[in-house]
Amino acid sequence: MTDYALEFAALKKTFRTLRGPVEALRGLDLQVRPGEIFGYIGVNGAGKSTSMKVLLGLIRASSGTARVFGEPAGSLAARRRIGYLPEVANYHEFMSAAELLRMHARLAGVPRALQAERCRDALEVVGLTGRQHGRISEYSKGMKQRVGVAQALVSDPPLLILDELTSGLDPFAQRDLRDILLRLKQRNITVFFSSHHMSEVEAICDRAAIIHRGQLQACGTIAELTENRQRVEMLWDPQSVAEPLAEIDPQGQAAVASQDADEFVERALGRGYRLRRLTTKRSNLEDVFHDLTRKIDQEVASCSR
Amino acid sequence: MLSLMEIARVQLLENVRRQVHLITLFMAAAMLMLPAYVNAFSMGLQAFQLVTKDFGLTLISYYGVAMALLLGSSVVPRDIERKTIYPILSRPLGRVTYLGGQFLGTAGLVVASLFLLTGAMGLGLASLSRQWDAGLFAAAWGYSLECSVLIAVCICFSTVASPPLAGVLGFFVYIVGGMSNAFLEFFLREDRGANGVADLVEGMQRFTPNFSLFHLKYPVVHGFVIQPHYHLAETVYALAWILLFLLLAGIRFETRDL
Repeated sequence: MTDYALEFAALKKTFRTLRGPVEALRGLDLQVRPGEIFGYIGVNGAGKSTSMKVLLGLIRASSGTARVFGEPAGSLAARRRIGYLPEVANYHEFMSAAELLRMHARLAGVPRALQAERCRDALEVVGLTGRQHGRISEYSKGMKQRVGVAQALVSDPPLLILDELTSGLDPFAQRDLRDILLRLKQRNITVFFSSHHMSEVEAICDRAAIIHRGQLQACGTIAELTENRQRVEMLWDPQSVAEPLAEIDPQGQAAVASQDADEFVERALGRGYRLRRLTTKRSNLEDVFHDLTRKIDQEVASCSR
Repeated sequence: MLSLMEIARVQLLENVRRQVHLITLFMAAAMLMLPAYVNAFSMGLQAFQLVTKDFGLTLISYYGVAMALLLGSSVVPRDIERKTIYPILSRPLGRVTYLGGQFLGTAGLVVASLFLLTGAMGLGLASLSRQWDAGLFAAAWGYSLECSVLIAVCICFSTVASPPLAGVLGFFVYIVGGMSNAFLEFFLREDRGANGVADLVEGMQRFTPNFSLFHLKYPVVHGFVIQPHYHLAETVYALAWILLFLLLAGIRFETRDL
């Protein structure tokens, strides 16, 4: 029996395109424990959806391994344990939510005697009981996402993979879905979800990982990710500077991670900036994410020059 | 097996939702009226029946081929483009099962349409001649098999090409596979002297289904008896080609990144 609900080991994926190979994953290593709500953060194109699709066998890894409860990713055994909500969740819109759930219960191999109960249960979890007979095409985006979560739940899987669950939803719908995730945690379901909403990840996740340029950049509890990280916010006098720094905006404001502050201040002073104000504050997840990804982008840019 | 039938059911419903059946119903109404229309210009009862059957079955055949090409070449790419394929393939089922379900759902609709049209034409004929010609359905079965093979061909091509290209390639296979020996020998070789083209077509025919085996229009129109074992043989022949094309599609689709 494996210790992990899912794990990636040295996972690589290279897409062949007309413009040449594109490396979407560059040796991704990550483990998610059973029962966790795990946030998966990254910019668009970081490799989140690609790695999720590898778990489902929708995309084949170029090298490395991916496992779901010890089973090879993409295998039938692995897929029996997964409920998946894709990033763009389109369903057969002529169906009602009830019909869609029944269809997925059948496809998932739920025994006939249990199908009605599972559908009822999934609808109850997402708060759609009594509204399951309307056509999906007539649902709002928030309701469609709920239907998506319900279809993922209908096979009673121990692992839920939700790709950008709250993307494009209004704040009320986002909060409803967050509440649903917390209810799922009480059922000991592992939730692996990607998001662009840092506050959401901070609010509900046991652990989170930051992925950028196809590699894991940081992983841990929110406290671990933000611990010992401070952010230095500065106000500079931007006037009479011949060569402005990209990090300082036209109003003279800049913010960097504390460990980079000395080097940055030296650089700014060297360019002729005058420091007006400097304050430090504890970083939140969004700051950590920005600092990490920006630093990597700068390193890549300097290497390619 | 349950997954296969479930996907077939959903695909059938999806095609119905696309209102393909409305075109069929319109065609059926036309087929119902066709005998009366032909009769108005006929010289006698026998001629009217022959002309109606010939013309009607030709129309039904073309309709089936057009539907097979359009639906067969778009059924899988459409699911990929609309991303409805992701939640389905995240379930514990093989991609070959998915393709098989898509094939069954599409072929089911086309076959039902062909039988509906044939029934409508038969009904129109019977209302005038007071005779019900069950032999028409022998021709419909042949066309059904032909269209089913063509759908499998198009699904196979659609796993490697865009829907329009898959449709064109499917049509090419249909033309090459349906070209009769008489056409090759008398028209291409003897009349036109195009031996090279005839040789090329003959070479390609080794790798394509012989669609002319499914064309039972002339024996049906002229009232010849078709032996049951012929239907069995053409069915087995069609199934073999369908399985081959779905297998090829499955091999390609299994390794495709979605």
